[in-house]
Amino acid sequence: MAPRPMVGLLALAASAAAAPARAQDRPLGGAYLDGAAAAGRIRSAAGTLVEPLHGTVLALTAGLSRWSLVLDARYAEGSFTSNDPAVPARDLTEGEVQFGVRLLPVVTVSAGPHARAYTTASGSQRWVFWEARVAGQTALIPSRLDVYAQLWGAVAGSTSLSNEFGSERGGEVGARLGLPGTPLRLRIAYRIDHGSGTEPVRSDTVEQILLAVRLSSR
Amino acid sequence: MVAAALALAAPCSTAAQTALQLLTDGVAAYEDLQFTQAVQLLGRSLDLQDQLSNAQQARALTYLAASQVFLQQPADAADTFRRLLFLDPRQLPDSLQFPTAVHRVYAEARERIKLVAAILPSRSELAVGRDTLRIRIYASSFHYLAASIERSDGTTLRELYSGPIRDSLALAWDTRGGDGAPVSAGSYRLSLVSAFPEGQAQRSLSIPLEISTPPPVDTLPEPAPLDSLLPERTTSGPGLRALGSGLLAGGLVLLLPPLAGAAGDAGAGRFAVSGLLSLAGIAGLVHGLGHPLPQNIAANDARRRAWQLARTHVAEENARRRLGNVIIQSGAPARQEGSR
Repeated sequence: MAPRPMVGLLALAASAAAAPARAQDRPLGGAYLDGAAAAGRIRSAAGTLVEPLHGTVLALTAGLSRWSLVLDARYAEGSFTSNDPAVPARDLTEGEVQFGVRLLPVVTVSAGPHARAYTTASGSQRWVFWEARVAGQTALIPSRLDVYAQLWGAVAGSTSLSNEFGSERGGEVGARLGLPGTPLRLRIAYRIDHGSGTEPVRSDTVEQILLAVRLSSR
Repeated sequence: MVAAALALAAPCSTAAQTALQLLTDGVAAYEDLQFTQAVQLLGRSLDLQDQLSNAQQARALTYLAASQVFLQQPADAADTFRRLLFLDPRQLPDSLQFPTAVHRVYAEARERIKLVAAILPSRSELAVGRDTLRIRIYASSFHYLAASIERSDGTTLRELYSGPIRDSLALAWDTRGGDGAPVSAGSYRLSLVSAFPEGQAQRSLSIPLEISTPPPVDTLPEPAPLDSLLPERTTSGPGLRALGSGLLAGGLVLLLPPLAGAAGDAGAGRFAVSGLLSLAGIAGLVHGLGHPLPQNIAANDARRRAWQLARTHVAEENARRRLGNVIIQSGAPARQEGSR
């Protein structure tokens, strides 16, 4: 797995997290940095052939908000293997940028590119999705515990495979627990993303159970 | 008419100037050691005492007595000091201005005479049951004093004090009679009887008191009942909403695979996440169900105490207003020798 992209994104996230001190003075602004580890599963299906893989994913997400505008960037890397010796191991690399608008205090809509690459010994497969996303959250214990959900779907996409891009849909649901006296929050979530191509039919499902720590400016 | 007024005013002005001039000349004669002349001038000044203030009379009497001491007339000096003490028991010769011999005669005269002076406001409006008429008594020397409020027929309305007095005494009358009933309008007097230690009355001081009662004042309304108190416990609404949100999120985890079109691809790990989110909802329910709110409880307690205090104050004030006020006007004191 190549570490350099992760280091680059870390630098980007660190610069974003440098904003909190200033953002705290602004009632409508904020920033966060979120590091996650996930247990992942991939099921790739081509016709009747199914390749199940499992592995771990490390993800870094950073976000900025100002007034009602939201900018989120996510980068993830993972390594997957299969119990079936016939299925080659593969690395997963993902990156996405979402630019959104907060319509209500707890509802945000956003859109942006989402790229995914599988790297195997024999080569790489790339998917690019142009997604629209809706996200919502609600507090269970004010300032301490909340739950959130995101649903997305691709309005357009492409793949490096011989297939035609078909569709992509996914979602993430989780809970965030604030640690008293700190700007840290623990996050646990379930995430699934399913992309498919046609001619011939092919699909990839990436499923993750994430455990994350989020540093938030407010 | 102006000329007539000037003509009427002129003799008074001349007399006042004369009395004051005689006093000034008498003091100057004393300071020149012309004691005989000083006695004459000061005596003539005191013959016109109506034109002198109490302070000027006291000054004239003090210098006259001192002159008499230097003229070897101790009995006359004692009489003059006696007049000084009748004028005001607090008056005494300046210890730097007059020699010891003068002070000795003064002290002897003061020790022999038993009298008091009373200081009280010329007019007081007092709330019955709340205010008191404050009277300050000054004694010439140690003796026994009986102080009381008397009706116009001489009967006692209220005994204020009976006992020894040395230098001064503060008395307070709550405008009630001996039976505790508020005094009614009419003519009264403050009676101060100075007596020897053996009990024999030496002299008395009587100060007329004219008491009237103004129209009663309206009572105050009761404070409005307390309303819009802050809630002292959280409502169950937030807790139930939290439970609903947690369960919904848990359910959504289970629905995500079919929503993404990957129902057959999802693993079993999502059930654990779903259960955790449901538990989070239960935690929200427990947190949001009817917990006490200490800040609101403290704020409400403070409001209740303030309201109770206001209610008590209104009740006390209304009880006082129902009793009404009295207006006390004091007249000129009259002194009488011996028992009345």
